[in-house]
Amino acid sequence: MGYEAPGLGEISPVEPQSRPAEAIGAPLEAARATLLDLTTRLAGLLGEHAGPLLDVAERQLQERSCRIAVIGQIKAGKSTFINALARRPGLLPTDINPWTVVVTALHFRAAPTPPEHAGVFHLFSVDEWRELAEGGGRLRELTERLVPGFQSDLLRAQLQVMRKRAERRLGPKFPELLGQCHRYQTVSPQVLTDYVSAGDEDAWPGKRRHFSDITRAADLYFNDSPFAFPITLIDTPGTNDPFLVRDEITRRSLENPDIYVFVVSALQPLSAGDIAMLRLLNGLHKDRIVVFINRADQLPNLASDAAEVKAAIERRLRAEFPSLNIPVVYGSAWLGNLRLQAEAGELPPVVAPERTPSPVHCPRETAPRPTTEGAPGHHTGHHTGEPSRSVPAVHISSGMAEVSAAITRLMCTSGIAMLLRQIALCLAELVRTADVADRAELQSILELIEARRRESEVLGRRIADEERSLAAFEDHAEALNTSFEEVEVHFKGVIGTATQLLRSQLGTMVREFASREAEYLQQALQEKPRRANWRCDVMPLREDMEEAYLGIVDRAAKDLDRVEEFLYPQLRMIVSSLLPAYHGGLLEGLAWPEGASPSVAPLGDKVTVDLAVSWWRRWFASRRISKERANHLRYLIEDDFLRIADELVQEAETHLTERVDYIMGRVRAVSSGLQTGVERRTANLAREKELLEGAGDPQAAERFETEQRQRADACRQRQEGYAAALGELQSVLEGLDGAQGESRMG
Amino acid sequence: MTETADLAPSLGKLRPAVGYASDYGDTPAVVARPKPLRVAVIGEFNSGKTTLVNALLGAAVLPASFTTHTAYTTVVRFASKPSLRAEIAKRRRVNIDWHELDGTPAHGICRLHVGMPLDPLRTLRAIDTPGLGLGDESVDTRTLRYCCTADVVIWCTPAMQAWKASEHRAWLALPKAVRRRGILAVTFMDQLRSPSDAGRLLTRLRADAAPLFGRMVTATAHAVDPDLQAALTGGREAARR
Repeated sequence: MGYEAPGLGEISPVEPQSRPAEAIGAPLEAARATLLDLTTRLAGLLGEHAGPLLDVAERQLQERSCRIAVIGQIKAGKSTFINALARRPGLLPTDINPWTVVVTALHFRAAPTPPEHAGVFHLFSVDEWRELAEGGGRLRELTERLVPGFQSDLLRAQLQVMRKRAERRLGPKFPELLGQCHRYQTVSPQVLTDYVSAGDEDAWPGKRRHFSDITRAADLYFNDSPFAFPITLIDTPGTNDPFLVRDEITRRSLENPDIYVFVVSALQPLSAGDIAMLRLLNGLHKDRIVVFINRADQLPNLASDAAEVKAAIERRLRAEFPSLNIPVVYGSAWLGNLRLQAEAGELPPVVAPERTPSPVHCPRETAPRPTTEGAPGHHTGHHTGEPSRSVPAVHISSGMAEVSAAITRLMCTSGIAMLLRQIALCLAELVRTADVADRAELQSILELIEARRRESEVLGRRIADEERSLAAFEDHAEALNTSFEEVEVHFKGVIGTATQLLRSQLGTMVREFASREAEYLQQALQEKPRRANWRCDVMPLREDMEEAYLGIVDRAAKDLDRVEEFLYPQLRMIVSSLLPAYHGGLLEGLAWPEGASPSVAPLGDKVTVDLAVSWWRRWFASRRISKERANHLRYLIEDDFLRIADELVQEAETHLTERVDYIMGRVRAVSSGLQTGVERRTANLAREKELLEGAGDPQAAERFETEQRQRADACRQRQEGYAAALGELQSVLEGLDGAQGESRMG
Repeated sequence: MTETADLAPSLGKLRPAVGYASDYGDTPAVVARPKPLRVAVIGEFNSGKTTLVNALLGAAVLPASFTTHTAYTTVVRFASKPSLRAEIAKRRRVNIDWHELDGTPAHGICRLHVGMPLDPLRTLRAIDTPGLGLGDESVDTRTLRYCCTADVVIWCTPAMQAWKASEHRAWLALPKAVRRRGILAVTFMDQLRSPSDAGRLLTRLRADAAPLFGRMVTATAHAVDPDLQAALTGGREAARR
């Protein structure tokens, strides 16, 4: 559904400045470019049988971007951070009040032509809006479960405000807009504000239409990327927003990102809420988090405090998550943006301070100190007028280079790196198969040419030999096809057993946990005096479920590997029957990269028990008998988590099936590659035989000979191509290993 | 920015909840030394509580830092000469030095008592509290319970990241009577990047947060308004009349 941009003189986003020396994802981009180039070249070299696999690989290489979600509490500076990281100051609208209300994905991809649309804004569907604005969405659903028939006055009031505001801003007929998708050729800051910002309350009729209340998600596209690798930055509304409805929207719109940048304010870093969020993320996405301490420019003592805050946060993270090494970077996105503006000549490089506060009455730690290395002191000057505070001394890092490096390091061990490795291995396999087939063909051609030089009897013998060998291959191939089918049955069996086991284990786990918690609650209620701070913590259940889930999927994957290994001797036997002397390392190692784990996203769903204390207080007020309460708690836990368990089982099934499909696709490609080679040889042989038996036309024989020689040359040429491709793939794999090793060390 | 001065008259207007009128109501002899107004300052960590206390007193009495948080509830009262004592058991106080407190809560100390020969302290007693939301719910509960006994409760919210859902929840958890004598102090106003930001912020807070308080004021981190002392005394005397 199209929507024409109102003619208000839209302008393109600010042009990015020069690309930084080490752009995000540079090591992976080299691998991606090589692989993408190879998929095109190999399509010509490998023949039809490889087509489907090459197409899949090419699509993945072209479309997959690294998804970086920027999350954190309200006013941590997430949008400002994205503007600085993307080197586009002023791109995303920012404000002193919580401003971003829509999950906004910024797609950066270096391309010669601009994208078809610069901005696409998805409005809520009718159902989504009804669920949210009239029902209160998931939050309402959860609270309803906890205290039936009760809806918080606050939530109700906020929903009312939201409906009224949408009406005021968009007119009474605004529901007609629902379900639409608005596309813009260019996106101005004003358009962005209209769709993704909270906006001012004082909208008047005739003012620009403001859609953010009914916007579900926004996609912005850029073909001029400041990053090396294709990157999707995802801006999110802040958590801990007193406007309760937003929190739920954010949670729902976050699809499994590759990396999270967790932005905290240097002034109030790592509150209890931050830790809870990190714990959840961390349980679910190990090794995917960078913490960025923003607003370091607002610390009273930039140089010393920032380092101290960083050290304190690192200590805290180590205490909370001892097994992990979460990178922590501090800086100031605001400063990063100022620098970019200065580079672009929009600002003088340093704005002189207006005045330095008198240290006389200042409490300890707030008096300005000279900074290290005799550099000019920083200025926490008070502004007395527009437009901005003085810029702190320029030697304070904005942190952007450091955070880019940290992101690149995480990328090298992420799913993206794994995907590239998988594609490289798969391509290598295809090339080696083709190599085997071509070597066999070449050998046969040369032998036949050799035989033709001698007597016809020799040639006849030679042909008979060849026929036998091809017939043997046909037999093998048939057996192989049968065993493919058998193996697929085995694969299905393994998946079936695993999902069944998973379902029963997770179910038991949930039920036991629920009973235990219900019992604790009953005890707590009977204790005198009553335990004031009773709280049900479901994080341990989440962790246990995750462990069981990953464990079972991992065991099933190992079983699949064993079945897969069973296939290889057969394939190798065929290879050796075609080409006894071949030692090209075909089908070595397993196809699936190690550590590619299934999604654990369902575990991140908010459940009733996660609701804040104040809701639980209502719950305690609502029921009298402790037994009844305990039973209700048991029901709440079981109901929420059994649903999550179901989703996990489904995820596991999808993951394992994908894996099987991939393995089967690969072995089928190998066998069909060999088969194609054999078919070529069979055709050659038939003509040879014809000539031998006809034995009349010397010209025809001569033509055939020339043709065969040309074939042999083509084989040799292709082999050169294979060798080159294998060399490149080898260096891609080594590069990926190196980058991974380095990032682990760093 | 002189908005710190805002606070003084508003303090004056608020009648303390307990033991106020009887202290000096009819007997002029008691008027000379009325029971000081007990002002508790609470809020999440690093929300500028200690800085506000110092601003109220017009001197850097308490150490304010972004990296080491206030670890104990600290009561500042008038004394003829400066003193620092730790309350280690009910009614047991021992002399102590700031250097002995390294920022981590030590066992046995339940409160700190600071005595200072500062004029504002003749009429008010300031109670600085550890920040909320650092993760220990029992500490938060204790802090909130203690501040309920004060005559005035000032909730600090930092201008740059003002009024989050967690603050909203914590404030609503206090009894209504306490909330009614509450003041919302928007701290670090000088950290805002422009006056228009300040205007927009205050508009939002007036709508969303101020209705939950007796009133709302603003404060700055560095500027200690020289008029504050006088204003406080003036406000106090106005209240007395």
